[in-house]
Amino acid sequence: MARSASNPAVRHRALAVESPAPRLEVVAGRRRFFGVALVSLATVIATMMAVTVFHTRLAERQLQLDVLDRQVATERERYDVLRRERAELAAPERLSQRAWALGLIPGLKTEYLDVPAEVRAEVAAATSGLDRVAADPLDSPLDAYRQVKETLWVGP
Amino acid sequence: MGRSVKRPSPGRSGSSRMKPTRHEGRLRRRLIGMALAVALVMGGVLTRVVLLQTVQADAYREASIGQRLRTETLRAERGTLFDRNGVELALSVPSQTIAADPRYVRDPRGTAGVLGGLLGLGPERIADLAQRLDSPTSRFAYVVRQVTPELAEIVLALDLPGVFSYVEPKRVSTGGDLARGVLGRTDPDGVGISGLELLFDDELTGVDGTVQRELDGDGRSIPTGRRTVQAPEPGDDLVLTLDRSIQFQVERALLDRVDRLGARRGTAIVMDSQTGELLAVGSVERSDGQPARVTAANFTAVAAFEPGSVAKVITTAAGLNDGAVTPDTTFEVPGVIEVDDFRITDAYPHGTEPMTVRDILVRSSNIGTIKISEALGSRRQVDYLRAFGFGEQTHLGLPGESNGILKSSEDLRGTERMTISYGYGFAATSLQLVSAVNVIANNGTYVAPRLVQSIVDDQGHLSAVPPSPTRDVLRPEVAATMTDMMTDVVCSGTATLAQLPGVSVAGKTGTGYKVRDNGTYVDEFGRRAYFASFVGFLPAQDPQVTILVSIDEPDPSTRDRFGGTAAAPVFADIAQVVLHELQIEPPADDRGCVES
Repeated sequence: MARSASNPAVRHRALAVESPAPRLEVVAGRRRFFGVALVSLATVIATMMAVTVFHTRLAERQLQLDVLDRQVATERERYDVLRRERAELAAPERLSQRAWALGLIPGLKTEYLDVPAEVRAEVAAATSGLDRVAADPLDSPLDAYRQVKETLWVGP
Repeated sequence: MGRSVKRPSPGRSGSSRMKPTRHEGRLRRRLIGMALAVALVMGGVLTRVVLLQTVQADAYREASIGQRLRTETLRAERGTLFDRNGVELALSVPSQTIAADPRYVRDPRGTAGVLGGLLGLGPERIADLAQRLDSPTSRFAYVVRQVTPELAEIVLALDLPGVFSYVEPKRVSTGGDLARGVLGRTDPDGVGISGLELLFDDELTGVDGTVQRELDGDGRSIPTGRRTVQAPEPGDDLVLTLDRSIQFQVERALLDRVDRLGARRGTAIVMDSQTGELLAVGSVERSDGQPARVTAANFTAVAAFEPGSVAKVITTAAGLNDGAVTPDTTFEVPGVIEVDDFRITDAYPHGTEPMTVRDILVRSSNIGTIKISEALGSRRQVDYLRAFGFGEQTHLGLPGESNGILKSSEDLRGTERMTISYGYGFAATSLQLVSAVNVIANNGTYVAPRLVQSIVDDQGHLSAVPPSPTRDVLRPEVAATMTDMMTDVVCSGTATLAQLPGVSVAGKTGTGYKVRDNGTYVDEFGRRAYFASFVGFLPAQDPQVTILVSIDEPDPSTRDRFGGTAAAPVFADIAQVVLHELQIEPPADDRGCVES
């Protein structure tokens, strides 16, 4: 031992043989690299997934909007058809024909009667308790149409 | 490991100074050639890229947009025509138009035959369709426009190559022929071509919008692609002054009367006396052997005629207003006079007799009216006719509306100076005539007729149309006097058939001779053609509505050829309807023609 120690070359070789392997620290660095790579990959994948989901949701919403647009257009068309049907059903010519078919005829004369004040008062008293909804005239087709037009209006 | 050993390279050590071998030279040339080729290709690519990005960029961008983007027109909805109660008279509804792409039609003749049979097309239209389908360069051909969705479905179920359908708005009148002369119509593209549809075409027509979609290679919309929408602006809606119910009953009364009298035509107008709003405007016509029907032309505006005795109202009112006469001014009126070899007679034979102005109007004396006109002067006569609205279009400005004919006083020739006083020598439309008589109903103020009450804009806001222009023509007391005298015309004069129970009516009959093809009032067989009319208002004590009825060419062989017999009964029918529909209550002391 003592001889060996006296020889520097031998001593150096001996030291080299006996020294532990702290340089294995390099392995720790590689593990960090893989960790970072793994996280980065996960992040990229997650981001891509998020973007994909986002686009999918966007597409879904757009499709829903398209469907709603079509529904609005369809309902608008249906509304116009119903307006036409209502107007035709209430047309004087049709009503006149129906009335004729039912045996009704136009009044032959008009007679104007003086209604005594007490009778008017009685009628007013009898009708004053009318339900407001029943007493108020319903919206005319024009009023209803204006409401729809106002709702559907989209500015230029 | 970490140390590299530099070894000498046998090829390089001292080789720069050595002459290259043959193999090396060939390799070098190939390398240079390859480098040049690559450089050339890269240069080409680079040049192309530069060109694409600079000079040709716009063209390619446009081409790209053209490939990717599809722009479609969103047709603006045409405005609706409402009556005064908010009921739709004319509106646009979706319909189906069937078309074909001739490039994909395999058998043009066969396809045309099948479609023609299904759609009820005649042989000529089928041949025309076959010809249009047999045009490989064409991309589009109409088969039939604006049919019901059910019919379109049947056609498409045949699955004919190249045949397809799409939605197109169609203009419909909800009352059929109701008021068609006034409302007018549109062409298949929705452009107004007559009546109010034409007059208010700009207001009714909206502004078309566009939608731009991004498409994939197969022409399908890309859900997340670019999508630009320019929303269409719908046209304005018009709320008319017409009342659908009154309009219908007016047309019914006219149709019935024209058929019964074998007349050629009939017109009627119902006007709000104070506002000039037209509640009904009817024109009906009868073809030989056919029942009368509502016309597509609005004869109340486009046809002018000599009004006959209704014009006596104007002459008498003018005489009273100018102070030339009073209701009690008396004239000696002969039954016949001769002017420039032209005989002028009264409607009924009588000798010379004294007549008050009131008598002249009530008995409708032509010669008596000439006396009033002479007291007034022909210049003033024409001035008053103009003030009453004759000789110029009404404020309506309807398509084809006539000015009528009214000469200046200087241009009146011969007997015209006299005949103009009782309705010959000038021509007026029904609209002019009802507006003129309405001056008396409206307390001496002329109010122009109007047909549009309010407008609904594209946001649904309702705005009233300004009231009709007015002008004072008569003093109110003169209008009241005239009303009183015209009430006598109905109660005891020529218009007793216009009476209504319990309601006072003021009015005046008119029976005019029509000018025949030979330029005179009698044809080659000595026959006359009549134009019978009646204009009145009610309740006379508090006028609410003014009504004109005219019957064109009633059967001349019957007694029902005069204004008092042909038109006045229709007036009474219409007046009943109007009283009921508008819930007009006559003043409490009004008893009609019955003395209270």
